[in-house]
Amino acid sequence: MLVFRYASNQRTMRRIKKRIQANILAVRLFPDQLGVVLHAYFQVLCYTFVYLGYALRALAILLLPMLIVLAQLNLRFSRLPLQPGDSFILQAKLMRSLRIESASLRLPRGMKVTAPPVHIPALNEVDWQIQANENGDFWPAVVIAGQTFTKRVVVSDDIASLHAKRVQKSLLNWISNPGGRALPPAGPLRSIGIDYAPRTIQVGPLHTEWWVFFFAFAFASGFAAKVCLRVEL
Amino acid sequence: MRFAQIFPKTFDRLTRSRLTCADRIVLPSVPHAVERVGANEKGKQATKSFTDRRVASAVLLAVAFILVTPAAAHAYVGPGAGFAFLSSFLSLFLAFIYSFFAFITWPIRRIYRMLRSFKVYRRAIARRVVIVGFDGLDPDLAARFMQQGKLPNFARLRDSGTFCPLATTCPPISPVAWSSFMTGVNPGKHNIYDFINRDTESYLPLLSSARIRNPKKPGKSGKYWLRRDKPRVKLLRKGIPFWQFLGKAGIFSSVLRVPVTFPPEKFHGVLLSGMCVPDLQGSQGVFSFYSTRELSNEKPASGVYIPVRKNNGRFRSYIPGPENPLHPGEHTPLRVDFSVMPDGTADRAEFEIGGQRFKLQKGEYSDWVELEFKAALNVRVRGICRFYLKEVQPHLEVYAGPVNIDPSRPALPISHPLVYSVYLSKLLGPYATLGLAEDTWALNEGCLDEEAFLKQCYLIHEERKRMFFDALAKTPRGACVCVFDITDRVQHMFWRFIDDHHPAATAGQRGGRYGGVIEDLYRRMDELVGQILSRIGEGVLIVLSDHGFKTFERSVNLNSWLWRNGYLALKEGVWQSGEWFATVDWEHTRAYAMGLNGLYINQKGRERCGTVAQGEATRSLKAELREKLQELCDPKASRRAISRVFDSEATFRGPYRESAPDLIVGYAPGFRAGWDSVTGRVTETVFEDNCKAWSGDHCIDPLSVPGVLFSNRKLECHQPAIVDVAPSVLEWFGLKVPPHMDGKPWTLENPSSPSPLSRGERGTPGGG
Repeated sequence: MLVFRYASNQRTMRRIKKRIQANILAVRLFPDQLGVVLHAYFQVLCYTFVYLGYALRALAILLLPMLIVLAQLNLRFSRLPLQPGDSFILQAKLMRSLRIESASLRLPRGMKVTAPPVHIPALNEVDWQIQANENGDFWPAVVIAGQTFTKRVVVSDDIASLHAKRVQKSLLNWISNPGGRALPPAGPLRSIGIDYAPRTIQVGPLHTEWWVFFFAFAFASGFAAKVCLRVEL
Repeated sequence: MRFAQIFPKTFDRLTRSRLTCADRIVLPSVPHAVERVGANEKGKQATKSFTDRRVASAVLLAVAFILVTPAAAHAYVGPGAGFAFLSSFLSLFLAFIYSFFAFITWPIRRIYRMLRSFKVYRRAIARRVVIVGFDGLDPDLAARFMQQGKLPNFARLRDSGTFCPLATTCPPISPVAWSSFMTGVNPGKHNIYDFINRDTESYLPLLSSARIRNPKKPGKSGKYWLRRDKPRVKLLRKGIPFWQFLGKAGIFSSVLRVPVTFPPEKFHGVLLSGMCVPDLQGSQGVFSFYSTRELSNEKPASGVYIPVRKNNGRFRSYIPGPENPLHPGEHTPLRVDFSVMPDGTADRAEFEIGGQRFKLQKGEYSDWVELEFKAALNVRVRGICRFYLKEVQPHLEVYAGPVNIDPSRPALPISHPLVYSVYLSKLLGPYATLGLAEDTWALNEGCLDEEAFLKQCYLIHEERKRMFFDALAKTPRGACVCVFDITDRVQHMFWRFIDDHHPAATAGQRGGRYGGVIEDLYRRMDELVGQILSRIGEGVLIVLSDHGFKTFERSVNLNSWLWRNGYLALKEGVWQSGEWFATVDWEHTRAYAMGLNGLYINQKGRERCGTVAQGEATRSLKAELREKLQELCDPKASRRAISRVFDSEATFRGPYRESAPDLIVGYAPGFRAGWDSVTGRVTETVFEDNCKAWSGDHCIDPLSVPGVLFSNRKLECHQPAIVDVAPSVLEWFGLKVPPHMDGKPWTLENPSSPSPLSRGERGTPGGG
């Protein structure tokens, strides 16, 4: 709110908003004067675009920090960490040129494989079902072509930053899977991932995704704070 | 003419007792104000509160019981339940049907309205009539300046249309004349004879235009008072304004700042009230003056002197607001604190008020500052005011104008519809809402100098202009009426500089900068007329004033004259009286003067202590007084002070003639009722020099101060009068003139041909 306040031309925005309100009132006050009503509608439309123009400038400044904040929130609130005793699937996708049978798994202490690996040739993917026995950060490793690739697995009762997938370095991958170390671009492994369960937030009787709650809360607090902070939104 | 300035202290008291109390109750910001009761009622309330709680608990328990035992409720479904269900369902169903019907018939209704208006306008000989009122524009001065070529747009109106004097009302006072203007009747039918009327019981003044009553007794809830009512503002002006007749016929009107339109009446159009709208304190305008100088102990006539404290390098003080609605009757006004910080140079200072900061240069006005007077967390009253930095060093001097009702959140109804004032505020920003917005009394008291007063007048005038041009644009058909007050205020205060003999100005001052202020004023009004002409197209333009102006050199204390001649008696051993006849012996008084032109007979059966019998005794006393007053001579000026005295019985016709003063005194030019006389004081002197800045006036013989009439059309009118305007407008729009109207309609010459000024010879906005 404060950034928006200082990044936008509040005085002009306030003036334009009043003009919009005035023209809406003009429609109510001069209903018999058709020309006046049409002109008022046109003015409302024009001023709305002008208003949006002024708001967009501030929004452009806010866009990058907002994306970072949203990405960080998503890492923490979109998935549940594993609990001790939970089983999960570790998926390793190999380059097309490699045989899936060549991949093996090395587990740290506190974890165990609960089923034989499943090979999916169509996707060139190997899946292992693993059970975590205790809380902590674990680093199971996939070994392939003499190289070892680890993936962080979080077993915890608390909120933690969870990277579901480790992917090869590229801009698209960086945007879609922020956080965590990238795999080498020309390595044998395309991705390595964990199937964390999705997290929902309960608000009264409603179970909702974190972002629904976040946006509802952000709007409500924004409208409440705009009065105290004297921000024109 | 400004009532608060003529009756300053009294008005203050009057409005505080009659208006302020109501205002603080009425303010919509505190419509359901929660009030703490006095300590003596706490016991009763505790008992009552306990009872309330018990009742509430019992009801809740009953509801809970019904809810948790649904089987019993569902056990019987008889005809009663069916009816109940049907009736509630029917209401919903009908509401839905009505909404749906309203929605789908909207275009049909629109078309019907359009067709109706076509029909209305088919009979009309004018589709748009624009009336611009310049309060107090004088025909003699206008003619002189036109002759000198200084008013080209007025001259065009004169040459191509109409220019003539316009007979005013008796008495020639703004509220009286504008009431006749809008209703088309004489004062006997609209009930306005002055700014004030008198209470026959107490001999105290009453505001003649409106009465604000306290809301109904608030209800109790526990230890709090909950207000369920708003104050009732009642318009005392009678008669029906012409825009109401137009509205009934489907013709739209925009009416701006016409005097005596507070509270606004409903009609088909928009209206912003003018003269008589109070400030937030309930008065007609109380300014505040702050100074680090030693201020006089004498209370200023229409303002307050407030001391300034210095604390941590900042000067601190406050703006007084309305009384605290939570503590009625305790006379504890709400206040907003502010501070001023001189910024090191001699000419600037920073103001901080309610979280707003702004800097002012010496001699500069602030923009409108929003003020919030807080009584409790959710009880607040909002107003606006302007600051003026008069001096920074060696002494700090600050003027704060009266706290106006905030038009964006009006505390009292100042417009019709209520949102019209909000609309103007959103469109043009905050603006002066006070009826008499130009603070003439601050200039009279020396709190503002001439330069500052002029700035204030023109700031307000610019606001008014913008409002008017918006209304003009929004009224392509119908009537558009606006009154500009600046002409009245500036002439009142600057006439001394164009009168060679006025006692309130020296010869040096007359030759100085202010000698040309009135001429400049007329030029600016001419520019305005030029701008209007360039926008009016085929419409009919009427420019008029309610009265003219004359110098006010000598004041006449009529009450002193009555006392000296044995008509008014003072209590034994007393040789003068304070305000409002404080020491008058009513048992032996036969006549008294109150207000600007009124003289009353102390009649038996009418006044509480009446001494003169009604009928012949009153008539003969009136005749005697008329004769003597018309002979009254000023020994210094060696001429008669009074041109004629009007008998109300012969002058007024209508149902409200009884409310009129018994005699209306028409002073000769140069004379007017003295400041003491109008407020019911009795002094030893009858004649005095008027040494106030308030130096021009019009409350004299109506024949000496006619108004002016201009039009862009040739009008066929014989001896036109202000009372003719309403019937003329009705006739131009093709409506029948109601028989009760006293005015005679003017005829438009060649109504079908466009105005000569709309055929290319437009006004010159630049005035050149």
